[in-house]
Amino acid sequence: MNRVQYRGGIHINHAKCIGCGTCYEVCPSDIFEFDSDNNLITVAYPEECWYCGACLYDCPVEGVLTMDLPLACL
Amino acid sequence: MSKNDEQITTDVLVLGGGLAGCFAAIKAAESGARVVLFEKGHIRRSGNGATGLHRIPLIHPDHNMDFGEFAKLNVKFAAGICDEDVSYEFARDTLDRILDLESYGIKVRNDDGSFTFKPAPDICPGTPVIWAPGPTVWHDMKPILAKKVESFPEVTVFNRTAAVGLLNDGGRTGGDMAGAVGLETRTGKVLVCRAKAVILTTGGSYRLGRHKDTLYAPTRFIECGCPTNCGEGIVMAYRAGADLVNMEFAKYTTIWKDFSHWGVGPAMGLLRPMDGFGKPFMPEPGEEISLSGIGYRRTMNLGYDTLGPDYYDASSLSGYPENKGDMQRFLWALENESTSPGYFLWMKEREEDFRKGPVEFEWHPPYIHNNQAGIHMNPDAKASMEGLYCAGDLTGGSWRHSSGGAFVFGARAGTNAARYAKEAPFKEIDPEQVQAERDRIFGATAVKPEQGYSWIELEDKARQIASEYGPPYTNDPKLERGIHHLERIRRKYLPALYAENPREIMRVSEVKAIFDAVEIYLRSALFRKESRAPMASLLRKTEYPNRDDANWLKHTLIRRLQGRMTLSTREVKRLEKAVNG
Repeated sequence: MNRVQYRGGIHINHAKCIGCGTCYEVCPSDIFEFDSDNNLITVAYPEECWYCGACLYDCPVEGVLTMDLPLACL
Repeated sequence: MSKNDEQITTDVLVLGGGLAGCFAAIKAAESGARVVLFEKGHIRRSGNGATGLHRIPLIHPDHNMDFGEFAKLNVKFAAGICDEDVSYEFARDTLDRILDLESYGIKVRNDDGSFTFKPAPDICPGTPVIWAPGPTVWHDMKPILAKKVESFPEVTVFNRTAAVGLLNDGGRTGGDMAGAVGLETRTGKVLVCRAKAVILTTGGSYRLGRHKDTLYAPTRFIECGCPTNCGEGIVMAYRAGADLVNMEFAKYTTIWKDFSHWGVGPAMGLLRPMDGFGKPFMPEPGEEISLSGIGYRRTMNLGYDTLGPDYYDASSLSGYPENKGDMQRFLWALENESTSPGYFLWMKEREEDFRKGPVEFEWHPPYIHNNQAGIHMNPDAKASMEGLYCAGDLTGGSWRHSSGGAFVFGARAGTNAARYAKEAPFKEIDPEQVQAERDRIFGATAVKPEQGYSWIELEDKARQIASEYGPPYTNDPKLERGIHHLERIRRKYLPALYAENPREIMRVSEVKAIFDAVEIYLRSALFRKESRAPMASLLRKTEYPNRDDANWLKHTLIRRLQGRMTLSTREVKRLEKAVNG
């Protein structure tokens, strides 16, 4: 199956991220993965984001997480 | 059972840690029960109230109306499909639950001590709801409730644990509650919880009908409700033998154009809906039709001269266009609503601004959410089986209004389940019933992916069938055809569902519930031989175009008897005399 690239989703600024794992802990749709050995959080399931903003509200560091909507919604 | 399953014992098991489940756990613990709570996400940010809400029902004779008056209006606007005793009891507790929120540290009043009462014409006339007393005060309602839940030493919360099946006494369908099976969604571990009472608070279903996009799109889980809520609790109750009602009366709501979130909810309270020519569209004088009915009539081009675009217009609000008066209150309501960050991005991108002009909206496909459809619940938050209670968006047979329903009946479920658990003995868990639940969800791990079907393909197909053949506009041949297709797909392709990891096992449980929910939805709509338009819902059948109270002023009752889905009716309850105060 061809892999279609979609824009939109939650983006992590890894330079600012402190690896606390709060986003991974609270996401209602469980879209993040947390590699605790390397303190690295990634968005593993961007297509399952609800765009609720829970991660944005609870992230303790300003500017780490941003949200873009998929083009279908814009 | 497997020896690797975790065995737990408790008095009261709460399945689902959203607004209703949190209140249930708090009140059960306050009543002296040991409580276990299973939550598929994390209780801090789970369910529809994840990041806020914009209104809370408050009915009180000192403020707006008598409980009996509300109950009568509630029944009328539900087009009669509503147990009046539940409406009355709902109204009675609304203030106390708001005072609970206040005692937990959530601001509900303005600085002068007053409440902000607002209209909610999707509920009833008058001002039956309060709005937030500030722009961000309800964003953290869920974390504050979660902290309160966690403050009780007798409550144990299992986050990332999805409920997958109820357990009956001796494994008998319809038997008293013995407990439930849970699945740890990140590890695949199974938990078997023995409990005297079970409270189902897993929410409604925002994965019933399908949007114009397929599920292959990145908008897959953009829904006007938490996407983890896909009717599993409703289907679990049905499979265990509990009564469901009115599953044909799915709900409709307005959403942002092309972006299927809430947020337009506050607009439904205050703003004029109008068409592209600026003409307001509301019922004609004397016409009995719900707002949803109008919306779908427009979409289907029946009796209107324009197909949209449709807009909400704020220009009649006091304070418009400045951030004052009702305009300010409206903007605060928008900001407090759960999922609000997304729609401020939407408004910015589209240059849509309620302060500058009308904002475009459209309609969400059918979903199940705190109205007539769901598990039948009595005023004590009790379902039809001994030891089973329910609260929140999955309850049916009445109309309990968003967060208010969760708070009021979550609390009643907790208190009553705890009281029951004090007297009742534990019931017998049947290891075969546990194993059947495990097989039902783990069977997919034995399917080779290259020979199987992903959960996405199967869910997309079930929801396509729901939207193509189901309400609001349908007829018996169409429903029968839809049921035929659903059964065909279920028979041939559902056994080929594969799961490669614990997350996909969770999806298997969800998709199987979605298939059952769609079947119940279509069969209920087939069974009801009339048209009816409760506020926020709609059923229009071509061959039965009129409302027929003589034959159908009843609940549709759906039960699993001897392994088969059986449909009949049940009386709607009315209060015998007007009751005040």
